[in-house]
Amino acid sequence: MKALAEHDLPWIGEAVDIVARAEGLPWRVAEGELERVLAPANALAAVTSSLRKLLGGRAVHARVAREVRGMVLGAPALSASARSARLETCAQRLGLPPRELESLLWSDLPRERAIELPAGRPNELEVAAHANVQLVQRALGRAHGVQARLWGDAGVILRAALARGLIATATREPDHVALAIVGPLALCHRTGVYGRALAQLAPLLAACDRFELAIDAGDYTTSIASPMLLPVAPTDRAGVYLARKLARDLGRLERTLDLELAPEPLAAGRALVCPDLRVSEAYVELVGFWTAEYLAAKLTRYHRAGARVVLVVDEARGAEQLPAGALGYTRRIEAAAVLAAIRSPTCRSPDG
Amino acid sequence: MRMRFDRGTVVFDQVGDGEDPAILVGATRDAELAAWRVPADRLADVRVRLSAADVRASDEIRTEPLDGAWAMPNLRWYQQLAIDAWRRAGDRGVIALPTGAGKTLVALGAIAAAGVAALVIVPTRVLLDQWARALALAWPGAIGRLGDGDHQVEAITVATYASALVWAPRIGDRFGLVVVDEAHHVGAWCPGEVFEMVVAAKRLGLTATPPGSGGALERHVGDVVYALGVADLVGDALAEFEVATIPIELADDERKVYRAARGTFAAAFARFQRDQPGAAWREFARASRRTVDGRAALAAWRASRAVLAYPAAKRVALRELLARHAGERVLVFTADNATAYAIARELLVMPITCDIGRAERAAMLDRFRAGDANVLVSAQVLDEGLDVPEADIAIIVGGTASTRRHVQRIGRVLRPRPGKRAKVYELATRATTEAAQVVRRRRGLEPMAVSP
Repeated sequence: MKALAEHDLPWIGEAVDIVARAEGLPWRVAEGELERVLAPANALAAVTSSLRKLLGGRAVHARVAREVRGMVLGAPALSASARSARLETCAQRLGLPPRELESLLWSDLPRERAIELPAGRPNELEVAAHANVQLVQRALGRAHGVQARLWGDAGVILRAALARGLIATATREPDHVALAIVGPLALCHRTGVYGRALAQLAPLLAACDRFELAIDAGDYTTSIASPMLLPVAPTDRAGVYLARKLARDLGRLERTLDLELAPEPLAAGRALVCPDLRVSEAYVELVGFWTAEYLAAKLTRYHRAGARVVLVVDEARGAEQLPAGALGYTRRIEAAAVLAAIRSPTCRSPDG
Repeated sequence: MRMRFDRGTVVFDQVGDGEDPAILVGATRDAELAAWRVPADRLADVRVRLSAADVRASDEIRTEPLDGAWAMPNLRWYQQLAIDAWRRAGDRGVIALPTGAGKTLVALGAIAAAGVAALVIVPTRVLLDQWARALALAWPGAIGRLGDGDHQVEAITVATYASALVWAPRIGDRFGLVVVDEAHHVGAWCPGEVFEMVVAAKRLGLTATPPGSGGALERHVGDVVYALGVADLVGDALAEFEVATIPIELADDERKVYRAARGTFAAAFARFQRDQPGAAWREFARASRRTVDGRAALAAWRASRAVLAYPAAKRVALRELLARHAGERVLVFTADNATAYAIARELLVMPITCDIGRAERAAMLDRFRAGDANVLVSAQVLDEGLDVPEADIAIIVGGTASTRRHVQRIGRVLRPRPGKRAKVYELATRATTEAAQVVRRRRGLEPMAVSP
């Protein structure tokens, strides 16, 4: 996959100019013009989509447009006079000139609404950065699985992958983290649903200092690597949703607790563990689907990393006896039970 | 060995000594979990294999129970025959009935007969709402809805294709039956993986236009077990109808633009076909985007279609037809959304497109039923499934050669009423590609009775 870079800025500028010139006209007019820009089709589509996203505007007009349509549209106005009469009556009722009323009719529909430049002409670099996210998303969306090499905070990607139901295996290398990510059904073949989950990781790549992705799409492979123009990574709420709730409950229980949400992953030999929460000297990891072997391996890794841990396990996902160091929950994680488990002697510590 | 459902797969762990995982044909090792996985739809097959091999397995997959009694309306003769055929086929397969013949009732009958929790998958938000309301009339419990902002799961749940794809990894173990509406979309709009991620062995597909055999629909749902076409039910369960083709002449300037555009496109397309015989349209489009000439050819193709979509003579013809049928409920079908909006803007009638939200669409359909807004214009949303019982007239301003689409569109006005005779007008531009399309798409109206 070829990301957009400095040398693409001239044609991106041309695309931005087309949209800026079409201010006030429907988006479909600009889209027709944009097709003439000489650029790779997928890159142009990503730029067009980014421009639409950056300029926004739909929500602002949605309510008014609906109201106007409900009032104006009805039985067909088959003559010019019938048409003007209806528009005038409705305009009077709303206290608007008929012309403005007509322009409001479609002001919320994606291709029909008028282009607006609320903050002036968009910047090419910003457009390119957002378009790159889309290009990476498209590549990941078609993927079977991904092998990632991440420098800096790999925990963001690891947690985000796990939160989206992906299987992620992390290995610590001397200067980076190697991450193998695949969807459960994608173990059997390429799937759209887990391709989409992989694509959701794209905006978060900017959180890493450096990255390299080897994307396996089944019938072909492609690679993506930084440096790449990307917008600042957003906070991934999905990745820390439950942990954030638990941290809040623990904080309410004991104000003096030293809590850290999404701490740095811990090295356990070559493997890596990724706790969701640090509570003073101990760690908490929330576990989704599990097997006894999976929990045992996880506890061993924490042990090897020299960390005390409580694995908080959804009991609905299994009916086995939980090992020491694991705390089961059904429906709701009880903060008091987690705190008690952290403080109990069974909380797995480096010396057993 | 233990079996559990997880994220669209069945997971096998605790494989005992002497239990050979090879019995799970096609299973993939999940090293992280130290377990084996197969797609969820293989569950029934795996259960049979394990049982045949006398392997004792702890099976923790339980579909939701269905407690309650259905309040079923009377079924028509062919609806009952269709359900009987489906049951004989082992509660799997596709039932093909023309639009307006009551496929929803067939599904209700099939779900009631199967007696298991059911997930109904539909293409659009409009149909989600429509199905949920129909099911609520017959089923005493709550109806789950997934899509259009709802995410409630019940023993009987309706989901849009898009939501089913997102939710299947989470709820794929809860249903014993999957019903897919407009089943000809399976494998394309409705991805096959939705069906792979649900354990339900019972499957029912509903369509007016079944695709040929050997495709994704057959693989995931089954063969066509019962089929009737429009011609089989006209005068019985469907209203009598007549189709009138209205020839349209392009104005001189339109003709000039059309010919120039078509010429540019045809020359480029012919060159491409010479270089790559048998290549698909998609490949032509992809190759064309890479060159200046190719882009010009694509732009010319779009320009030629734009001329045909709504030329001046179609404008005149449409006004005349609407005046002739003033006060009657009319559905206007266009080739694309832009034309639907153009007509809506010009005549101040309501467009029903994918861009129009649920509440607004429902309000407008209510006004259409009440007769206050008696004309609706749409490119695609009205093509399939939407229940508009009061429509009598269809005006096809633009379309494609697709027989499937044509049958669906005509079906919109075939819901019977005593004394009703529906009228379908096709506006076809002379000496253009549209004239040939009209001839081709009519083949879809021929009889197709299949009843084993």
